[in-house]
Amino acid sequence: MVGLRRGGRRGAVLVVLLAVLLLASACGGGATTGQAPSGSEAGSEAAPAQPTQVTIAQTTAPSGDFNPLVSTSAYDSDVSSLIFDSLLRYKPDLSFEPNMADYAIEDNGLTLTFTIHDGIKFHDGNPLTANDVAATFYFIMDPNYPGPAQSNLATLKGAQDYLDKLGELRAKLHPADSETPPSITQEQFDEQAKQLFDQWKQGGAIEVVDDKTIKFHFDSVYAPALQTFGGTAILEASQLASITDVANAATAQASTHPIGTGPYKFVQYVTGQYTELEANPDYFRGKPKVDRIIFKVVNQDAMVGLMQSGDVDAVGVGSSQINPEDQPLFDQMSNVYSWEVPQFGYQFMFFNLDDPRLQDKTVRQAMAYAIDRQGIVDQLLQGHGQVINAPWAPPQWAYPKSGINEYPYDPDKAKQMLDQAGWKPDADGVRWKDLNGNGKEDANEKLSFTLKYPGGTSNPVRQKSAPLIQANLQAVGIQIQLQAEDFNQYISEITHVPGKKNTSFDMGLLGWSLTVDPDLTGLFGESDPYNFTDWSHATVGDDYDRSIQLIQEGLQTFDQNERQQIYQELGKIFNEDLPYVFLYSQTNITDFNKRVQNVNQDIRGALFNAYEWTVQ
Amino acid sequence: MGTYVARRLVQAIPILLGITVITFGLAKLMPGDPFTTLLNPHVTAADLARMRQVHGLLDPLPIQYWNWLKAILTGNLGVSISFQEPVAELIRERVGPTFTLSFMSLLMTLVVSVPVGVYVAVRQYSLVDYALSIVTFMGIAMPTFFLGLLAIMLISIKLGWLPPSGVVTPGLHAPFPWNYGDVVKHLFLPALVLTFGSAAGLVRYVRSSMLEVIRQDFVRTGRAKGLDERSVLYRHALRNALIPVITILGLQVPYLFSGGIITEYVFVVPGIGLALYQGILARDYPVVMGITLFLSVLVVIGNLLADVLYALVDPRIRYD
Repeated sequence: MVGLRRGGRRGAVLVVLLAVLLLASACGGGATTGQAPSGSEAGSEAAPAQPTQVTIAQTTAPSGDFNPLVSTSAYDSDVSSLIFDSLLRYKPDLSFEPNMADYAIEDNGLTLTFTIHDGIKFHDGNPLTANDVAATFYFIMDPNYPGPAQSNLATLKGAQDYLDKLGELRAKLHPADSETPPSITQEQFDEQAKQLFDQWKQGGAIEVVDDKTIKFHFDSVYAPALQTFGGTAILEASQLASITDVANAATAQASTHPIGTGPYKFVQYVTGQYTELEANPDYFRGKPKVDRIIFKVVNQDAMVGLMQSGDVDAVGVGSSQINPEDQPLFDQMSNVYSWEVPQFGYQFMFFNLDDPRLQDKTVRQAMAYAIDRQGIVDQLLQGHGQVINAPWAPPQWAYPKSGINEYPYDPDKAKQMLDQAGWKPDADGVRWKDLNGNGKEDANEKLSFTLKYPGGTSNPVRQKSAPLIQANLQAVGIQIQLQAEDFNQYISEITHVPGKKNTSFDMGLLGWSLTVDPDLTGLFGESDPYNFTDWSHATVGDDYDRSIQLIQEGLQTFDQNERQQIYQELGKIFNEDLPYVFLYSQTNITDFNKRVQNVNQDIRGALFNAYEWTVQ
Repeated sequence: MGTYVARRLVQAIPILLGITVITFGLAKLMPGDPFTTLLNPHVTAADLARMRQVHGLLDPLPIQYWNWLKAILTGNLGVSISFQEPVAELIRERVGPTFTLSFMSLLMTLVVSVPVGVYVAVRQYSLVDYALSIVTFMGIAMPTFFLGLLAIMLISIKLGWLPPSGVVTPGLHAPFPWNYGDVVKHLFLPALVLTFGSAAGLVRYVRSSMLEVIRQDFVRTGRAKGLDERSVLYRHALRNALIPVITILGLQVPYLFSGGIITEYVFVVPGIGLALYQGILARDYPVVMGITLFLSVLVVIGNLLADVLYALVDPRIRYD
């Protein structure tokens, strides 16, 4: 009897296991046919040829708002960069050349004129006109514009005045201190804001001369104008007009189903999964050779396997970077080719200059000597990067070519500098200096700091650099406690509030990702939220005033040589004062499956010439 | 029974209201807001003020909550700031993948853990019991992140049996019901990973509950009456042993919709759990509030369902 019953139960378990296995293998069988794409008509010649497809890995899902004027997600922009085009584009030497329009700088730099090329059409068949360009920039200046880029246009004629008045109006609706009740209602705000907007438009800052010609008029010379006006994606006026609720533009049809002039047309975005684009047969440079491009959301940790199996054709494209530690695995794959290019981004360790200990320039400089930055590049980046010493990335033309201190790794020199400046080791080996003259070692006189940095999934290489920096600094008698924080919490702690001393951090790690134009406005001004260090006259004296003057001067000429000289001097100030210890600039490695050829391999990125890619 | 259900539903209203107040308070207590992390040097303090105003973040907190509540009562869950779409839409889009994944995993969990639980209970302290105990503890202890990547590496990449991530094959234009095979194929691997963890837990519950029941008098009586062992175990003992298991399953209902955040992350399944997690990181208040409310409603319903099922399964329990 025992045998029988046992058999029955064992049978039940076995049946279940078998069922699970069968289900698994049945599902497995179908997997191999998964890649076959359903037919969408490709080129009319060569009858039933399979449409060609390239799949690009994205490490984070786009938000699905592909309106480049509104979206703040870099993953959205990677996709929309193929859907939209700008008036100008840049060359490998980072100067600008015509793309959809020719340009001329007139009036001693106070007028910028674009002449739109013939034969450029939006995906809906309408031709690109000067009205579309004007509508694009008017949209950005709308009082309810929800995107970031409005103050970029502040140098347009009368625009600063308009934005200031708008700010005053906003302060009436939402007074800075929460005790004061608002002095106007939302309706009054909307009405008066619209009046201000209309008044500014009538001022003629943006002048549509004819269908093909548009002029931008400025109050003062604005050197990054080519980037700001030439580099902005142009949307169709009728599409923008269809966005009735500007504040919620991100969810409008025009943003979720974008229509541009670019080489690829939007087909669909499947939430969190992939974005599908198809070749635009009317593209002004000719129909792209790859019929379909898919941006597929993948897990960064699985990218190596996905490349190997051919599930994706390209990794390390746009903002979706690979982990440099994975590159040796890509190098081993016979079906993959790779290249690397420098980036506009860099990492740095910054100081709270409100802290009297860190106000001592010698302490900051000694730290620069004490940190083995080349070691970080060699060990954590596997050599895919470069140590930097000024607030720009190496490919930017403003990066000083010579005449700056390289701060080579030299712990002995660091110790010596600290000794000379009076920072002597105590019994525990931690250096201190009697700042208040009471003859005792107080806690706020010790070189003992907390180094904060973003934890979680944020920039793993940066997180790994923190303990190396800690060990390096401890070796010269500077004590460091590490503290990883939630990214949002971290940024809110370090954000600069004008006129206030920040007591919520000592030192921190962060990175900037800059644009083609090397202007540093927004990073070091006394009222800038991103002036984390409190770089100000109170903390660094005259160097602050000179640096702000130089940043201003750098904006006031289009002459690159002249700007280069200005930025050379500016770079020297930061190189000497070190509000940041500049750490490294990582290179971006791109890996492509060999079946995709003719991919652009310079700093403009692989997506730059997607219309020229070929598939074998 | 009907009045009982009605009373429970009315009681749910102040509970849900309380949950939203607490969630809102906690969400606002988190340092930072959706625009803190823009980190774009071209964004000035004035730009930040404008963006905050446009999204209603400059209003006093009670007014912000009141605005949210007013909108909820008209069926509007608000617009997500980081996902840039209406929250109702966001939940609707993501319920499908999450539910499919969780349902597959729940089904597989039940199919595996009930028989296995009974089997090891009957053979307490046997070699099989010890072996399965080790496996189940491994299942409970093994991080899904690691297990997931292992499964991708082995089953998808090396063996090529199943797609490694996502829910549908890119470019396969098949509308909802027709792509079900494709979806199941994509979600089988993550479901398997989820099952490994949850089946391990449920096996322990079934085992201990079964152990308790088979020692009771009625089981001995059954055997004494000459019933064969199978009907003693399955018809009499198991039925009683499943009562606490039902409670656990009732509590699993909200989990069906919230999904395994880490599994969703590893396998790139755009589900509710992942959206809530990303919403919290981005301080996307409408998403945090909307999804929490959605899940709270499900918890209330799940608990109610468990209580009702209880009465149906166990005639000794009665509600008036």
